[in-house]
Amino acid sequence: MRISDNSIVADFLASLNHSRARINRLNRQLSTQKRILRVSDDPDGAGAILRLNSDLQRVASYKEGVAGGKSSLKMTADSLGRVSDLLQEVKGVLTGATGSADPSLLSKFADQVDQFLNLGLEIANTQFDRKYIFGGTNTTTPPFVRTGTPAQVVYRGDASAISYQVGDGASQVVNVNGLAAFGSTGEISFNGILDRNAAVNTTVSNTMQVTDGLGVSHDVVITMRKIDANSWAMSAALPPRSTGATLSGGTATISFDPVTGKPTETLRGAPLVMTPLVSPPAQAAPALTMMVRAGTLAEEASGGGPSAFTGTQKSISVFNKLLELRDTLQSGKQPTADDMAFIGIMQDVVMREEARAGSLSESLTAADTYLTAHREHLLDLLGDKQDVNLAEIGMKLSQEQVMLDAALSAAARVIPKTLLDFLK
Amino acid sequence: MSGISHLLETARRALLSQQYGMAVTGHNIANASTPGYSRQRAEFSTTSPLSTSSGFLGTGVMVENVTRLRNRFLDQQIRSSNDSLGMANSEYQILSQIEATFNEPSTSGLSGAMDRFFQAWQELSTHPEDAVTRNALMLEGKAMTDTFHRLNAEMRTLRGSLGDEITSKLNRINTLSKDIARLNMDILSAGSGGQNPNDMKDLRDAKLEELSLLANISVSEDSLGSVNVSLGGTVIAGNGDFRTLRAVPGTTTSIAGTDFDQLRIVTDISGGDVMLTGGEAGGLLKSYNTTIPESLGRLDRLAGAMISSINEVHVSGYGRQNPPHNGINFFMGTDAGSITIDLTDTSSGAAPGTGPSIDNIATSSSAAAGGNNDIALLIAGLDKKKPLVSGGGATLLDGLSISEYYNQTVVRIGSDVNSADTMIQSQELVVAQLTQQRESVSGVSLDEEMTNMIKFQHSFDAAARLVNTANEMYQTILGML
Repeated sequence: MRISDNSIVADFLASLNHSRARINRLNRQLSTQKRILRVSDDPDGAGAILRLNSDLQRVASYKEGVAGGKSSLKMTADSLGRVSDLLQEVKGVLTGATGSADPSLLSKFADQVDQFLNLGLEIANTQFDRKYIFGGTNTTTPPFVRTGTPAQVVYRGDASAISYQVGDGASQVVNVNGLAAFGSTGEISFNGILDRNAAVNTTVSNTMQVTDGLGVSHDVVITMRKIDANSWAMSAALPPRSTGATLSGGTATISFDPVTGKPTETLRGAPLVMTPLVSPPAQAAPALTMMVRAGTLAEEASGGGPSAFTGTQKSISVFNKLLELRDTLQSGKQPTADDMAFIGIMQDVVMREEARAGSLSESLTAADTYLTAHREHLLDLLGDKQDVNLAEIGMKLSQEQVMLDAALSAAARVIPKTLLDFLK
Repeated sequence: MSGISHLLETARRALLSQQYGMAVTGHNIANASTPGYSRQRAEFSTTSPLSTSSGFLGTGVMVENVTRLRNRFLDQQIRSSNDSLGMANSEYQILSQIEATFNEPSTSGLSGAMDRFFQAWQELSTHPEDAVTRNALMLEGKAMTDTFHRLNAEMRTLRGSLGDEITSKLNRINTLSKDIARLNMDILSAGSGGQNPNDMKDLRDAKLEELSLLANISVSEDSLGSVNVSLGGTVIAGNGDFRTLRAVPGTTTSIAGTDFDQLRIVTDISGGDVMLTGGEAGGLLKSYNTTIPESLGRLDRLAGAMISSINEVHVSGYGRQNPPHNGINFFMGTDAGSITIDLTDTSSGAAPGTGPSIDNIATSSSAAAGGNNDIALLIAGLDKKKPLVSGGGATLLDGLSISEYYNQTVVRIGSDVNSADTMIQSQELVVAQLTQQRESVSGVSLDEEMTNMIKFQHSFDAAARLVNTANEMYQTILGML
């Protein structure tokens, strides 16, 4: 085959250009530390990088939400712990006041309760990250407001849960609303007559309406069973096949004076707890916890007629109960055993919500752990797709450089030579 | 006549012929680097012999012709490969510019802007009542719509400049057609005078080769040496005759849901369509009519889907107004060029987009709860939601999510660039191999020419010695007298 001078030059230039292009590309990879500089370098790889970058950003925002949620829940749990401590102190004050008939001493106890009330309200209106943490989704205004005459504490928040996205298709509640923590207590008191002459194990029932924490009414069957001469055991249950709520507790034993027929003692079992069933489950509706009171229930001889009674529900928030106790003490009256019991129930509810905040925080920690692992996994994948192998690139670059030097050296020797160099 | 004068005549012919050969060698050496030059060769032949009583006596040598060494089959193959190479080159350049416009993978591309926009919604879901977070979302939304506008404007500008480039390429095609038609006439004219116009043929071949890079031409040569050039079945250059091509507006066509004007190529005389489907001009035309509109159309569809899907959720949500209300669009516009943040309360008669306010960003499904984040969460999840469905029930974005559709668009462009690059590399290899084969036939080898030069020089020396000898013979005879 004839080889013309032009073809030698053209071949050399083509090889030189290709070699320089490869060196240029390796240099760019080396300087940017990235294997893919344009989509066309590796379209599938570039598509994966876009996806992975997008996933990483999303994971980062989930983690940010989780961190914010955890901080908020920690603040919530701490606040509830402080309210629980306050209620413990209130119990101490009530114990002191129970044994005192001195109006001035009771007035001082009233002042102490008032301080606890103010402190409690301050805690209930805690702001974290510029949000009222106990207002449900109403986070912009104080949830607990003292208003009216006589003063009452009104809840201006809602019972809604706030959920953060903690993963693709996964969300997590990050709040405990004030209604559940401080306003989901109440009492059921009874009115009516129980037959003193009734035989032991005689039962009498009545169906009453109990309104749950979402404002929905449910039928609750209250049953009184005579257990001895002057004592009746009370129990509560939902009618068969009822839906919309679950019920637990609601047990007590009420003893009556054999002469006057008035209640002398109420031995409480578990308080009546009604939990509404709502959808979706994330909208954690508050469970309503109610104390049972004998109220004006009386035991009379059968001359008074057959046994018949009714129950009345009343919701009482922590702060309104403290207001009531303060006023009671202020007026020189001693607190009752029911008051002590009620504060105990309220403290239990606050502690229950504190535990729930802790549990939610634990779930967020688990989500955070998963997100951290997921992020590491995504970074590994991104590194595989995107990062250059420095050793490999360095070797390739050296190889290309050697080849280019060799080509240049060969060309420098071959191209200038013609027959003319050898003719005399 | 077989005397000394015959000897001198033979020597004279030899001297002239070797000189001619030397001249052709000189021409070859002079044009060794001339693009498109085909080496020439002086064709030596013996002159007519004399019939003598002793038989035929040779009368010497003559240069019968000067031929150029050219393989037409290789020319044809190179022109055919040039067509694909030119097209691939054009497409590669345009697609590379589109790829550079998208600027992926990087943090400054649309992918990053969309990620940050949806991330801002995610962050707003954790602080729905916060003005700073709302403002951040507004800024990310603005950055994203700006990126849509930039991509749309840059690709439309690129498309607009292609119109000028197509006209420029057509002008060059027209010039080459005209040159080829004129060269046809010159070659025929020279040929009819018994000449072999090698250099004119080289020039015509060079122009044909240049033309083959520009368009999908086919070339046929008639028995007289004139070539006919046709483009997509339409003859554009013949013997002294040529057609001028120009680009005219075609029928508007819907591509990926957006209407685009089209260009078609017609001849000046008949006005009939010319099927320009190859070469650089063909690549530019395809890019103008199809490639860029596809990318623009997909971008429009993406923007349209974002506008409708986000607005559909946003109008149902409540903002931070006093009192909070709903019914406000987040975006206005219909495509990548018009997507803009609306967030204007039009219930009071304000025109859309005239009063965007962060308070009008809807995050809540309830008018009463500022901390409710239902709407923010729904919108934050829209980038991964699929299929997106329009208000009329139609599936948007081919059933893909927003991020999937965009990634597919970018990857498709990258793959097209990659394919065009591969095509260029393979066609360059083919053309290089064919060119090398042609060079082995037509290229000038200086070594070969030097060898020829020495050969002709020695032949010339020998012929001169013959003259000397004949002269001495004359002297001898004259000395005898």
